[in-house]
Amino acid sequence: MPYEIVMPRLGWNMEEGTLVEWLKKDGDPVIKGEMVCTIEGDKAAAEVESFEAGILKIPYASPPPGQTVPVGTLLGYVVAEAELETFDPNAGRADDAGSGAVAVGLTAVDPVEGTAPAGVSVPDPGTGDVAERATPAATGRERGAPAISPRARRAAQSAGIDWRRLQGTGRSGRIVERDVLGAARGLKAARGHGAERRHEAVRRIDRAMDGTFGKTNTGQGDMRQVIARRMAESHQTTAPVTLNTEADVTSLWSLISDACHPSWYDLMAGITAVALAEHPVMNTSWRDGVVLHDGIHIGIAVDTTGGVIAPVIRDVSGKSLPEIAAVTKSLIQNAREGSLTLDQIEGGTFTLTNLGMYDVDAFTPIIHHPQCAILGLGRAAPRVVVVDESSGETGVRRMMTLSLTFDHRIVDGAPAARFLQRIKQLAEAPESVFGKADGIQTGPS
Amino acid sequence: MTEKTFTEAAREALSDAMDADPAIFVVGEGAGERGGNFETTAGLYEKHGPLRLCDTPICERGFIGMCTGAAMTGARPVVDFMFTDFILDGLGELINQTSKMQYMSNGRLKMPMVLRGCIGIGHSAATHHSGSYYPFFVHIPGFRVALPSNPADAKGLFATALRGEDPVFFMEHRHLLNLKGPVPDGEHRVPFGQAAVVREGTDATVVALTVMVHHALQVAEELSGEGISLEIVDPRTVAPLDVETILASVRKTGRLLIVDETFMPCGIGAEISAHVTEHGFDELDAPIKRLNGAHVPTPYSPSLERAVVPDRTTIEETVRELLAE
Repeated sequence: MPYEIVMPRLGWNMEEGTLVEWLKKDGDPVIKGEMVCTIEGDKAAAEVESFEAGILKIPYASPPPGQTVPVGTLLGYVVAEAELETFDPNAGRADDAGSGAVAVGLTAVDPVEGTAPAGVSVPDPGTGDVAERATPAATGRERGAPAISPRARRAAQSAGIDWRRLQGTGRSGRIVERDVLGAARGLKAARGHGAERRHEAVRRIDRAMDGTFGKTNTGQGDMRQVIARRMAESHQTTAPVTLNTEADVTSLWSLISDACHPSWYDLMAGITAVALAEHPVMNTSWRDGVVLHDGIHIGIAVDTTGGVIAPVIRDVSGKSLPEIAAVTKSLIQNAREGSLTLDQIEGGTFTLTNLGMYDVDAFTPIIHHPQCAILGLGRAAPRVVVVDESSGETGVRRMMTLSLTFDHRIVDGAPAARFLQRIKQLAEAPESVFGKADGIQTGPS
Repeated sequence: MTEKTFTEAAREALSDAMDADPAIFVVGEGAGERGGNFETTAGLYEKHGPLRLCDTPICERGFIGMCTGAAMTGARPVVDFMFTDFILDGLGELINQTSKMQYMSNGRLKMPMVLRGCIGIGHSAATHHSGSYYPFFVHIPGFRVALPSNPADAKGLFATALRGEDPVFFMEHRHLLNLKGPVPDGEHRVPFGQAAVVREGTDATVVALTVMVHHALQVAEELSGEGISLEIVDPRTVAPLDVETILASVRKTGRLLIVDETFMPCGIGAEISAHVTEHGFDELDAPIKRLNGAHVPTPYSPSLERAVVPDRTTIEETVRELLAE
């Protein structure tokens, strides 16, 4: 009789727990008393011990690491070698009343609030009554959760996908099988590369799917998934702060009529590159620590029918305004045609986004994770402003609100404000940036 | 294989069985010299004479009772009702005696009896000649119900009915009587309780009965141009019902529509739907849909007749709704 490893109850009040990780892989031999996985309850983490020797078998329906499940949920089996041939871990639990489920013990490892002294094994006290609650798959629709078809729910379970985060495409938003399979394809792409670290995996998913989109144009569904995941990822993991300032862009505006017809993106990319060179802490990413970037590669957010995408202008510092304008033009065109290649999307170190054409003054852009910051451009509207304070003289000037969102994990408020202030100064005196025809001066002139 | 109409194919099965088994005889109004209202017995009177092709007066309950007695005592009656509507006049006999006799005799008596008649709406036959009613018979223990949709199945299912030991309703849709198709020569039987997957597909399963099989096939063909792939299942008999084949199809597609010309309440669609939710709940990616004839007495006017039965347009609409679920 294979022994069941279930989500143990770490304390009387614990109703659900999270499988943190398996310490053994499916098919690994396990000796009696060995720890097979780590779980986490409300207050403590614990390693789960096998009371029997055998081979670890993890059924498809087992929750993926990171998923929270009710106490008593089946995690895996320890199967005696003799039984291995005839035992199917995916056949379902033989005895759903769960009488034999006291096959595991646990050892509390939480040093602060451990519910059991370290090293003492405690039989799971809750299995008897909790087993009747069964796994999430068997329960009805949870309150507040989106509707999902039974088939999609099963597909999500076998693919290890948390369907509560999916956007359904069925009638009235019901999650159907195709939604789960779409999400599973993304996950598979990430796992296929053998990514070990979470941020790596996320990055690769996005790259893989962005790339797929760009080349084969698989449609809005996949791209929306990528955007949704990236925005949520950014919002949940960064410590975003948005600073607003107003710049007098009257002289910069006059450059729009330049022979190369630069756009606001081109002008602000040039200015931002100069400011980034002076404030290297803003030209960074967070990857378990601050990573400084040598090159200045600025992404520009482009609105396409499939959703927003940010192709990257490479090495902005070495380029003249006409060069930047030419690159930007082709990037935007490729983005709208869905023909961006992978190297046109990845590698950005900073991002610009512009909503000024829609009469937006200021907004709170979301950081293009894991970059440090993003600069939002508002509209350049003509306004009556005080041009000389002493005489009280007013005049009509083009004013633009600049919205800088930065990751407070990487940089503090004052240095970020100094950076924004520098952008404002450069935007108000563009000749210091665009004065030379052969390229942008990245140092102070 | 020979090209035959539905009626010719069924008649071939009857003729072959009568040649082989002298216990088989046919009763019905016009079943004798006239050769059957729908030519179901054409040519057999000349061959087998008035004793085995027995004309009756209009007295359904009487001749059903007589045939029940004949079956109990070793004969194999075939009752030709012309229209299924007329079977209703003998329901007391059928349900209280015919269906129960094997059970009441502890299996010592057999009840090899075939009850045949036309079903279906669509010839301005009005409300007394357009009924289908087979869900009634499925409800009663002891009956079998065959619903052939093509000439080959008509021959094969009729041949099986003529050799069984239970009372069998053999229902012939009027729109199908002149339908031509290849029919196996010689001995050909289609076992009861074995559905046919008449078209394979991946996006949705359509279970269709009798003439609806043909409508569904046409819709499937049209929609294939849009990349929609329908699997069409023809149960062929609804008592017994081949739930396993339907489940296997739903396992593949995740979506199910049941198209049946008869009324929806307590119908075959409800029965199939219940089986699939009980045994295949986790296979379903969308709620099961049913498309039935309108729940009204059948009208006489051709345009109103068309409005009360499912057709290609309503099937296509319902398929699209199912795929949007």
